[in-house]
Amino acid sequence: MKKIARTHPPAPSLYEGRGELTLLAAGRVTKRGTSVAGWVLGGLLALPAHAQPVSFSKEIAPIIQRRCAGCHGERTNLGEWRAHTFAALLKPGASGAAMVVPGKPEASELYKRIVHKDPDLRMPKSDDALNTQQVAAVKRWITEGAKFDGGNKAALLKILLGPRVHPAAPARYRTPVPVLALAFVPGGKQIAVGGYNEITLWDTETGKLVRRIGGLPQRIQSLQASKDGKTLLVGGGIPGEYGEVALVELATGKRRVLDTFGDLVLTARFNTDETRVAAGGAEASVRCYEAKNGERLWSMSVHADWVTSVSFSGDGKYVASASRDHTVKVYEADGTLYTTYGGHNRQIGQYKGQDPVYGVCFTGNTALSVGGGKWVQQWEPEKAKAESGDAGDMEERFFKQGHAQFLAHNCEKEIYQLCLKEGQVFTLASDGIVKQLELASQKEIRSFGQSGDFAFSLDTEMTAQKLAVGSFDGTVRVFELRNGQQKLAFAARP
Amino acid sequence: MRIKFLHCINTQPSPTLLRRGRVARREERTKSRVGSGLLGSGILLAFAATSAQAQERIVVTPPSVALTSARDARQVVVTGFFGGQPRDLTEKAVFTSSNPKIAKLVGSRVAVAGDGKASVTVKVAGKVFTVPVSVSGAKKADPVRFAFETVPILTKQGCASGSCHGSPHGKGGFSLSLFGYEPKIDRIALTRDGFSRRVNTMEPAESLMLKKPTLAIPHVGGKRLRVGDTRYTTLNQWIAEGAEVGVPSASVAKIEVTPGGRRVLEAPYKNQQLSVIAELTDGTKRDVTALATYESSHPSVASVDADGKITGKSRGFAAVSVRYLDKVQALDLTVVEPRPSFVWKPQPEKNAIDGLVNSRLKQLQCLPAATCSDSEFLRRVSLDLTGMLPGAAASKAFLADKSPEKRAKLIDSLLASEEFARFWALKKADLMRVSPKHLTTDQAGRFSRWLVEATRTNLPYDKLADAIITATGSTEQSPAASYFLAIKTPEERTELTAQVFLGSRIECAKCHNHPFENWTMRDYYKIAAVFARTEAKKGQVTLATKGEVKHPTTGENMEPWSKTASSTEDRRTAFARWLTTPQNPFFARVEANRIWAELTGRGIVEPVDDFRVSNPPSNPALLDWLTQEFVKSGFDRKKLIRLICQSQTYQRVAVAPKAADEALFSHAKVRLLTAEQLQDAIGATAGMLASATTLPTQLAALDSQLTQRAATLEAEYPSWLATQTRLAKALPLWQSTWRDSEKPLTDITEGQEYRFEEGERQTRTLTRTIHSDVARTVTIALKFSDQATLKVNGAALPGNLKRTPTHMLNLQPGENTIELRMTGDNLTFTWKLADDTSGLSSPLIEALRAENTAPVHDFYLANDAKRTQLLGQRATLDDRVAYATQRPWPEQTAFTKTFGQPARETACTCERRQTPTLLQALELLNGRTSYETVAAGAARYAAFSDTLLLDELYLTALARFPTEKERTVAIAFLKNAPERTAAVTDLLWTVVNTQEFLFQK
Repeated sequence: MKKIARTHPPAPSLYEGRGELTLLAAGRVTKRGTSVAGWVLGGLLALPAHAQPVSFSKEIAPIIQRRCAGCHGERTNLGEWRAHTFAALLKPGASGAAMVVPGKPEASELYKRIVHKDPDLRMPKSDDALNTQQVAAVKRWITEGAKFDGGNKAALLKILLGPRVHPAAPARYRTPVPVLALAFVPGGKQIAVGGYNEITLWDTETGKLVRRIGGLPQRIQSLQASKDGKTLLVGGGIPGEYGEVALVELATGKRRVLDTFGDLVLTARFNTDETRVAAGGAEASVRCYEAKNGERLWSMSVHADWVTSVSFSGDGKYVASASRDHTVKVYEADGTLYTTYGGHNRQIGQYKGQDPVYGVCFTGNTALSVGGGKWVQQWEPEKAKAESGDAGDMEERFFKQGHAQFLAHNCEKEIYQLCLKEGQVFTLASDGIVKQLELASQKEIRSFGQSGDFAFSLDTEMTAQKLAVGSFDGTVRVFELRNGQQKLAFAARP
Repeated sequence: MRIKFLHCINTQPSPTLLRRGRVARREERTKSRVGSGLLGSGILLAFAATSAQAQERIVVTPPSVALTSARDARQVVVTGFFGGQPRDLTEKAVFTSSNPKIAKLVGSRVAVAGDGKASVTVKVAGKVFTVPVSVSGAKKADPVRFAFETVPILTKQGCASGSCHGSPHGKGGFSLSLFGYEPKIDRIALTRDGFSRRVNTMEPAESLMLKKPTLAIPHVGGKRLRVGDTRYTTLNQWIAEGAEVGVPSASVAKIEVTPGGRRVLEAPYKNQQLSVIAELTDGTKRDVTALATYESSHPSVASVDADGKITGKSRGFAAVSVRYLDKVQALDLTVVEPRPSFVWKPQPEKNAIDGLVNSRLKQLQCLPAATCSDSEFLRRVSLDLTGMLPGAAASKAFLADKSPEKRAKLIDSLLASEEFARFWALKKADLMRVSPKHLTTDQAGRFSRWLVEATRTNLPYDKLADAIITATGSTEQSPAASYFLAIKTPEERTELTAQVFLGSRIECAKCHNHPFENWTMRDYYKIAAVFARTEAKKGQVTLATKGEVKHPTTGENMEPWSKTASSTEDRRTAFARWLTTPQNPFFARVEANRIWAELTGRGIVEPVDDFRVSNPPSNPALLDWLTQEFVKSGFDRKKLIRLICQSQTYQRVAVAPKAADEALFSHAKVRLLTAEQLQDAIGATAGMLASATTLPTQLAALDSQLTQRAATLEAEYPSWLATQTRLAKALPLWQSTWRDSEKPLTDITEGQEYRFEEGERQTRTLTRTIHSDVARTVTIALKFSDQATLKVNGAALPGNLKRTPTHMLNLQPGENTIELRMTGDNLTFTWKLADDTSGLSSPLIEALRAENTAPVHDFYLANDAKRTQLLGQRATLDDRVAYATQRPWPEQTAFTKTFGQPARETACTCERRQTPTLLQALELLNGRTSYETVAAGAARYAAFSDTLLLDELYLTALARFPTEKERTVAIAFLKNAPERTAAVTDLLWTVVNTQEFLFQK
């Protein structure tokens, strides 16, 4: 281990308070001169024979997750075997052979197949074999009784591993980083911008970097400031492998992780009095937490695709989640599914289209949702529930427009962000154009910016009368709400 | 060892390449000046051959290497010649660099290490060659180019394939264009879509697009990349450089594959290293061996790895396709394995075909079968050329004939027969959608007869194609115009024409460039543009002066495939000129192959309408020779058929010798009779279908009856005419014929609904006169499909004509003019004058009153029932209605459909099913058609003596006499049967159900 210069992170694991062995981030080579794989492997090689029993969650789960779950996982089950959870991997596959026989590795299919002599039968198929340490760990774990030390046997293996310790942010960015999230600090003097393993704070008058808050997920996909400006609600992660929703104290940079996911968290929002948090993302589940202690109140996996936006209704009665699956789901406060709004998935009629939904929010008990298509759709959960029926009256319903109002936004591209403040609707299209629409008059008030490369993030600050847009090219543009003039543009690149 | 057939290869250049041929040759001449030459200009060292198998010379390609940028590299290929045969020595050669700091070696690839000059020494077979290497630009930035590197890598690694992210909806929310044909889509998908999650320019190795395919995180598509290999490194660098997705100004002009054409892989030289150079439209060249995609048509015969190294696996033939972006080239491979026990025996050869077939058999170590018997030959050639069994009499005569020339004579007589013309016209009609679904009965009939006539007169195939492709006018004037009436859109015509005349299935190119074919989307729409101005309306093919086809992606108007000689020339004429030129790489080759397949049961390229680089011919030299002969003869189909039938290859037995190869024509193929052949064969065997050779006699008998009847009718004509004229002249009220723009419409019958030809909204004005002796009012019954006005002597009838069924007409004495004007879609009308009781038709009254003798005489003849009946019989015979094989437009019955008769919905020969089905077995065992035919024929046989019965039955059904054993068993069966006719029925039924009957041997 001492051969490897270690500038970060100080802990010998990617995971807080866990053991030493994981290969989850194998192969990661950073510009900062450290090979994470190197020190993990170094740790392995340096270890003497196990004194402790092998831990499933710390040692075996990462191997299975990394080397088996690609073909035997949630999405695919080659050989009719899945290995995405502990419970699943115990079930025999198509051959019917027992996967794990505690105490008998030679009778366990799991072990037999990773050491099989026939290359057509040896797993992982058409890939490098497990290394000797990994094979030994699996063998010993089975010999020791194949015990489970992870809590919930039905939990995804990748979640068993808990919150990660993130690398420090790079001192300088070698390339621009797309601005996937930004949020004004209340008052509008500063803006928090999602960076690389960090949040950066910038002066909205000068465009100067004020502060950096590191130790955060690689990508920051969602930011919301608490009303008192003391806390940031942060959603992010690492594409395809990890998601995190956390509360970060602005003053100290202290992070409190509420939960982890198996893929990016794309959206996280407070309720009105900031006692609760809802979050969702690429794992397609929606979860709700108690803000003060991080207790998970409920989790629902009813979407078929990424959850792109969540929102609490003003009175806390509902939570809504928008998804790329063309629907918006509405839940009651306890997580019961209340209804599905299908206005973005119409086969016929004037408002037809099958579009992903990227934004949802509430004003009173009216919801607004937006994504692909030409309109901001305004609807009420109660009426949506009344209008949704069974297949019997489907045809009739097709011809009904329903109660929803369709507010044309006149954008060429799909809408990525939706923001509602003081009766004003702000939409950000993927080409960077922001439209301000007035809900009461249903009129377009103003347009901000010009069509250009992709833009992803949007926030407004009503007291300071400012609006900010974050783009693919790493720039943040700040506009005056009053006149639509661009006030400032800066590269959010330390 | 069993040899698998590949889908085969086509070594011919694409049509685009045909036109580029001259350019390519010019380039070759100047090539030696460019560093990367082809084989011909490689280092050449010749030395005396010590034996036939000695290596005569070695060629190292390229002779010199110039690397001009940091990531440039060049694949070196070493070829040795043994008895004139090239063999790959690349793997056996040892490569060393004079200065690894300038030129480094990665296997047999020369890569850049630093600027300067160095040389690579190639040691092989005791010889040493030196390849000078110059390197420049090693220190300059050499950014990865998205369009030329990133996109091909995603294709090569399978990411953009149709079953993965290249499928229309992508996979896992990530959607790429199929095989990178639309880089515009890929630019967004890789860098921006999905909230830019797929690339990470800060830490490239952290990018999802690298972690997934290396299985650093689970990937449903499995392992697609290895960390550290060149393609991984290139993608990593592309991301590190900011994942730039700029649009290049140049595109790929062509790829150059070394070696090209054909290669034989023979132990110990079972490998072949490929080198692929891409030339861009801006003239730059780059070695893309590591970026191109390789695919073997038969991986069990020859496999190919990601770096372009081919390995021969087992005896057979295969094609390796090389694809880089939208360019495809292929290499035909023959893999030879020594079989120690194999000894070639000299074979009889009747013509050049046999030499070519035998040399291929010898190469792949397979002995041909023996010559078939006379009866096998007779039955085979009769079925192949006429579709019908030879018949008992002809069989007997042929078997008895002792002349050594009898087979040749038989072929000539069959080729000269009417049956040949009709049966071979049917094959063409199958492909051109001659069916009631697409054409009217008259159109289909005319087209069919035209095809028969073309076959009968042996119209050269180029003329036939030209006549079809350029057919214009009505089907009366130009029966082939039905080709365009059956298929109306330019796209469908493109697909039909390509499949029929170019043997290419190009429908894939409608939506995307095909991964392993030369046909691009542009090609597709350029052919479609040929047909953009050919309109098919109202049974006529007309030429419009305007009309374009747009490329669906770019939206541009496509230039037609072949340049027209002038702006007014029919685009089809220019296309037909290109098509029928002797140098066309497809036209003659496809037809020669089709003829070969019709006669042997398998194309040299199979399927016969699927010519593509990845589908190699099983015997390229044979196909080349047949094509050449066909072209040389002036596209004479009969001549080619004769040549094939006369060959020893055609006349082999159908028993497969050991380890024979179906695709190499070592023996005749056992084939199930086609639906039409089987129907006629059962009919003929039962004696219910007279031999077609009796047709002329039957026709002559009918003609004599007709002549007699005509004489009788002529004798009675004067008295009939006098009576009728008197009657007509005395009529108080009569109507003339309806006229449409002065053209008489004699087919309108009073009181019956008349239908105008279907079509869009049209207006028709019909006129006629009504003659009356006094002023009177008559009632008409009128019915219309749409709007109409009626004028009598210029005054319109009041009211809505459609609303009331009857109207009153006020007539003056003498002639009254009637004008009926109708407007609408699919017009129909009915007219009945209540008081017109003459009983004579208007045209006849008109003709009688005008003393217009010709039409009156025609009417007189047409109204004779006896004559009509005789004419009907004659037409049935003349059109050979009873014979399924003799009608280019045969009936579609349950029986014929069961046995695979095509519905003529596509131009694909595969529409004629050739695989046996359970339904067929049931039809033969229990089917009404076969049983009823057999039962009906039994009575005739029952009357014969046993010996005669058996001879007649076996000669008819199987073109041979029964064997002694068959004779004994059958006679015993007949003797013991309680009821002779029933026993004969059973006997017939048994013979009809034998394999020997059902199959052509």
